[in-house]
Formats: sequence, C-alpha cells, structure tokens
Amino acid sequence: MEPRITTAHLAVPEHVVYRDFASETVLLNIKTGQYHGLNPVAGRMLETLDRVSQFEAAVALLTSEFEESADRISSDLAELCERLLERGLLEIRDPS
Amino acid sequence: MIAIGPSVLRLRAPEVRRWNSRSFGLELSLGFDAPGLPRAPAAIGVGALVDTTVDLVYADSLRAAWPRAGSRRTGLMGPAERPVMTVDEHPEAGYLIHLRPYGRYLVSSDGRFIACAPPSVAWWYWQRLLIGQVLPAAAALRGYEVLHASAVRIGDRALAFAGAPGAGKSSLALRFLQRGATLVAEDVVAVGDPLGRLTVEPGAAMVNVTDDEASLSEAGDLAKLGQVVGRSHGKVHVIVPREERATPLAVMYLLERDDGALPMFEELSGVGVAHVFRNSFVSYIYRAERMIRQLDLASLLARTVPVIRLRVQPGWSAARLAEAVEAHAEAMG
Repeated sequence: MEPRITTAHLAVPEHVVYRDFASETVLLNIKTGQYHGLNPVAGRMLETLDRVSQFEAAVALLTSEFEESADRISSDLAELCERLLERGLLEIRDPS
Repeated sequence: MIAIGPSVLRLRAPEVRRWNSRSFGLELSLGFDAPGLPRAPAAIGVGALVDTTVDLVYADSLRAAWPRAGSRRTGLMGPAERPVMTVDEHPEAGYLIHLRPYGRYLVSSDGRFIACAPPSVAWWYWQRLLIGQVLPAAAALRGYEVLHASAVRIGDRALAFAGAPGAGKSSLALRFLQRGATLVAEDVVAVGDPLGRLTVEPGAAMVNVTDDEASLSEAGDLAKLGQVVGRSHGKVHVIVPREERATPLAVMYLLERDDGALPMFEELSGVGVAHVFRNSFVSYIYRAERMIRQLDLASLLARTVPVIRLRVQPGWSAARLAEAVEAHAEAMG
C-alpha cells in the first residue's frame, strides 16, 4: 500500500463529477469526456472518502457500515484510491 | 464579443404577427407561422414569458455574419467529402446548422435566439429541421436533455418510447393517439427535472407517419387524428393535438426488433448511463455543463423511472403492440 495515501487528504477533483445510478456510481471526467463506473461498494467508498477527506476516517466509517475488518476495508480502499489516482479521478491535496 | 442577433441580421418580414408557443421547454416567439408548434393561449403579459426568439433571416446575411475565424466543425452527417448535414460551433456566436435541402440555422450560444434561413419551400418541409434539430439544440443549451424518443400522455403521466431509427417509436405513438392518448412529443423529447421529478416537455405536434403505416390505417384514420399537411421522403406529415403541459414520466420503453425468442417486456434491473445516452440527441453540443446535466438527468431516470426493454415481436402490428404496451403500463401502476 502506498504510504502517502493513508496519511494524505484525498478529494475528488473539481473536473470530476459523480452521480448515483440504480446499480453503479458513474464518474465523469469533464476534462477528458470519459465516463467511469464503480460498483455499489466502490461507489459508497468514494462517496465516504470524498465526504471526510482522510483515509483513516473513511476506513473507520466504512468498517462500521460494511461490518468488515478494518484491515480488509483498508486494503480495498487503498486499492480503489490507487486506481482512481491513476485515472485522475482522485487527487491528493495539501491539507493546508 | 461576437453575438449574432436580430440587430445584425437582415430579417425577412420583421413586421408579421408573432407566433408564440411553449415547446421543448422553451417559451418561443416566432416571426412566422409554425403550425407544428401549437400556439400558446393568448394571455395578458404573455410577452413577458418569452425566453427564445426565432426569426426568419436572409441566407446571405447569415453567411456573412457567421465568424469563420474561431469556429470549428462539431457535427457531420453523411460522407465527409459531401456531408448531408454539418454543425459548426463558435464559442461566442453559437451553432450554425446546415442541412442542404432545409437551409441554414443559427442557434445563439445561450440558446435564446434562433435565425432560420430556409430555401423557398413549403413551411412543413423546412420546419421539420427546425423542430427535429434546431429547437432541440436550443433546449439542450438551456438545460434540458433531448432524447431520440416519442412520448404520449395517458391520464396524468407520460410514456416514452425510445430506440434506434426504424424501431417503431413513431408508429407506436401514432397507435396510442388512435387509442385516445395525447401526444406529448414526436421523435425528439426534451426532458427536465423541475422539483426533482423527471418530466417530459411538450414538443412538436407534427407526427411523421411512414407511407406503409399510413396505408395500413383505414381510410380517414389520419384525417381523424389531425391535419395532413404534406408528404416527403416516404412519410406523411400530420399535425395532431398536443399536450400543453410538462408531464411526469412514468415509464420509458426501449424498443428493439426481436425474433420472438425472449420475453416481450423486460424491466432493466441495472439501468446505466449507456441505456440513456444511446438515445441522446444533438451530440454536437459538447459542453461541460451539458455533460453534467446529462449525468444528473440520467441518474434521476435510472433511480426513479422504470425502464423496460420492449422486444417488438415479429409479425406484430403497431396497433397490436400499442394494446399490449398500454396493458403493461397499466399493470405497472
């Protein structure tokens, strides 16, 4: 797991919007015009992370919500973050 | 700032009485008769409601006013070397739509002014482009999403029929009109979400029936529906009564031709972006705000409106199909 992710402030960039659909969360990168889909669990993870900004805070909330181990949630969330960062759908922000 | 408006263009017949209509979500004031767009009832202060002006202009003034520098082609139909239709966009001037037999049309960048430069042909001929492309483009610029679909009103709700060209959307809508439903829109539907509920805006009141469909109707059927105003390209154009209010969308049917092996009605359990966007219209308007709006409306549709795959069975007439669809829609409540 990339250490910077677990300690950074993470946020959905301004050029990315996402909306809930019946069976997926759809992200739109306005800069590229590309759409991306997340399954319901990943969509919930993204929404939680975007709301609280900090990785560990999101892990705590999601662990309670999904009734899973913190290690499992942490691993899954980190993988999701990596993929979203690669695609420019998430960014690391300076907390100041 | 390059804005092309009535002060820049040479208007044809600027003194004619205005034709006001609420269509595609727009409060229109047209400088010519447009029977395909039902006239808004006269009311005190109606002028204050107008938000979109549509005028006839001379083609040479439109060509001269369009700024070539800074404009780019965003839409093209037909072969590249000899396109049937082109759309050029200029960030300040707007969109210039040209379809060779129908003329040139400007839609201002904010969608509030439209200039029409048609050739000297019957009104019902060139206004097919006005209602089929130009007004939908203005509606898209004004925050509505436009879908390649037809819609009818039964009771207090609308049913929409979307699908590829030739799937049977218009024929199905026609049969619903014969069964007593009211037309909301034909071929192009503008969708909005006032108060967080998906609604269909009244569109064109001109139904385009194929010659085959018209010949299947009993003599006088079309005349009972409305006024036949012309024929072109294998279709009969009929002006019919139209719903005047935005109507909540109850069900969206996606029509597909089928071989009969699978069930006719299938409610889609995971409606996604693709289901909605494949029927989206005026794709040449490519702006961030429109993309976000499309996503908002598609999300609302997926979460609140049943979307039914309707497999059109081989050998079924449009009349029989309408009967089955009406029964299905009633059963859905």
